[in-house]
Amino acid sequence: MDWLFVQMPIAGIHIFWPGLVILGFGVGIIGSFFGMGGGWMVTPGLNILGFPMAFAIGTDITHMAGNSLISTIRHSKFGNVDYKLGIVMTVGTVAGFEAGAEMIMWLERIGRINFVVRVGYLVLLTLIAWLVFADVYQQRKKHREEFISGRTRQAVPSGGIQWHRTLQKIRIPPMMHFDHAGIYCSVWLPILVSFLTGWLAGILGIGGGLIRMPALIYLLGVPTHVAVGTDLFGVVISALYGAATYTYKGRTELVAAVIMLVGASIGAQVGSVATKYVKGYGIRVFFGVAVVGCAVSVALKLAGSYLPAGRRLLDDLAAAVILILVAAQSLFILLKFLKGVRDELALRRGDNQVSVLGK
Amino acid sequence: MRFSRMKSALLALLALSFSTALGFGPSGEESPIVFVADSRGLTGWRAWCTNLYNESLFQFAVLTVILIPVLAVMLGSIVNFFLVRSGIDLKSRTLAEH
Repeated sequence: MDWLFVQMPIAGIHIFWPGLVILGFGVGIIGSFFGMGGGWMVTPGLNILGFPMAFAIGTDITHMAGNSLISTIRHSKFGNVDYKLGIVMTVGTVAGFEAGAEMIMWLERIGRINFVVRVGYLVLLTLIAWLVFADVYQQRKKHREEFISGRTRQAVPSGGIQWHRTLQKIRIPPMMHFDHAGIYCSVWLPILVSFLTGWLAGILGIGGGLIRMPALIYLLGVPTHVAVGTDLFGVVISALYGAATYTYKGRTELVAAVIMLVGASIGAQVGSVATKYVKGYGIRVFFGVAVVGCAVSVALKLAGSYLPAGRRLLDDLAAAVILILVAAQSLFILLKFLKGVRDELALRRGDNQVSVLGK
Repeated sequence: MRFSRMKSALLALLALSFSTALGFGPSGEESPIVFVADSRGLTGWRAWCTNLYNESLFQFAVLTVILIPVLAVMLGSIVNFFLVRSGIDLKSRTLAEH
C-alpha cells in the first residue's frame, strides 16, 4: 500500500494522498457554494492527515488560491461576479487587514491575544448564525402572511432583514453603480464594510470569506448568488498574496497543494454549478449551519484551553466536528447538484420531445 | 570541586548545543528557523522543485504564485470539458432574489 502515500519533501513526512484529494474535493464544493476560502476547514483537516501546523496554513492558503480561481471563473460565467465591487472591496480589505494585524501585535504585547481572538471569534460566529437564521425566519414569516392574506407571492421574494436599504440611503459622493450586484450606493459604503470585515479577519487570523459573505448580503444588499461569486474573487486576490508570503517564509508544501487542487478542481465546479439549483435563501440556511458547526468547534477549543485535563479530547472533538460538518455538507451539496442536473436534463428532454411533436 | 567544574562544563555544552539546535546565535539574538527540503530519492520535476526551495525561497515563491493559477485554470478546463458534455446549461442561472 506504499503507493497510497507520497513523500512531502519540505515537511519531511509521508502523507496519504487520497486523503488530500478528498479534502480538496470537499472544501472545493463548500467553498464555491458559500463563497469562501475555507481555511477553517482545511487547516484542521491537514493537521489530522499528519501535517505540522507550520505547513498546514501555508499549504491551505496556496491551494485556496487555485480553488477559488476555478470557482470564480465558473461563477463569472453565471454572471455571479461583480468585479468592480470586488476591486473596490479589495482596497478596504487590505487596509482593514493591516489594521487588524497591528491590533493583534498590540494584544500580544498586553498578553490577551488568545482569549480575545477565541472569544471574539465565538461572538462573531454566534452573531452571524443569529443573523442568518433570524433573516430566514423573517422571510418565511412574510411569505406566510402573504399567503394567509391571499396576496400572490411576489416573483422576486421580499427579503427578511433589510439593513442594506438604510445603509444605501447614505449619499456621500462619489456614488457608484454596481451592475452585476444591482446596487447603487456611495463608494465609501463597500470600502467601509470591507475595511471592517478585513479588520475582523486580520484580528482573527482568517481569510475573511466567512464574514464578508454575510456582510455583502446584509450590509450592502448584494443578492446571495452574486455575494458568493464576488466574495470568491476577493479570496483569489488575498489567497495569492497569502501564498506568496507563506511560500517566501518556506511554509508551503507545494506537492500537497497541487494534489489538493486536483480534488478541488472537481469540487469547485460542482459547488459553483450547485448554486444554480438552490435558491438564495437555501444557500443562506446551509451557510448558517456551517457557521454553527464552526462556532461549536471554536467553543470546544476554547473550553480545552481552560480544562488542561481534557484538552486533548476537546481538541480532537473540535477537529471531528469540522470534518463531520465538511463531509455532511459536501455530500448534501453534491446530492443537490446531482438532483439539479437530473431534473434539468429531464426538462430539456421533455422540451425537445414537445418541439419534435410540434413539428 | 572537579565534579562541580565538570557539571558546569557539561551544562554549558548542553546549553550551547540546545541554543544551536534551536537556531539561536551566540549573542542570544533570535534567528529565523530554516527548513531544508529533503531531495534524496526524488527525481524529475519533484527533485528540481525541492532543490529550488533549498536554493532560493524567492524563486520558489514566484514559481508557486505562477504555477497554482495556471494549474487551476488547466484542471478547471478539463473538468469543464466533461461538464459541458453532460448537456447542462453552464452559462445562465434562472434562480434570483432581492
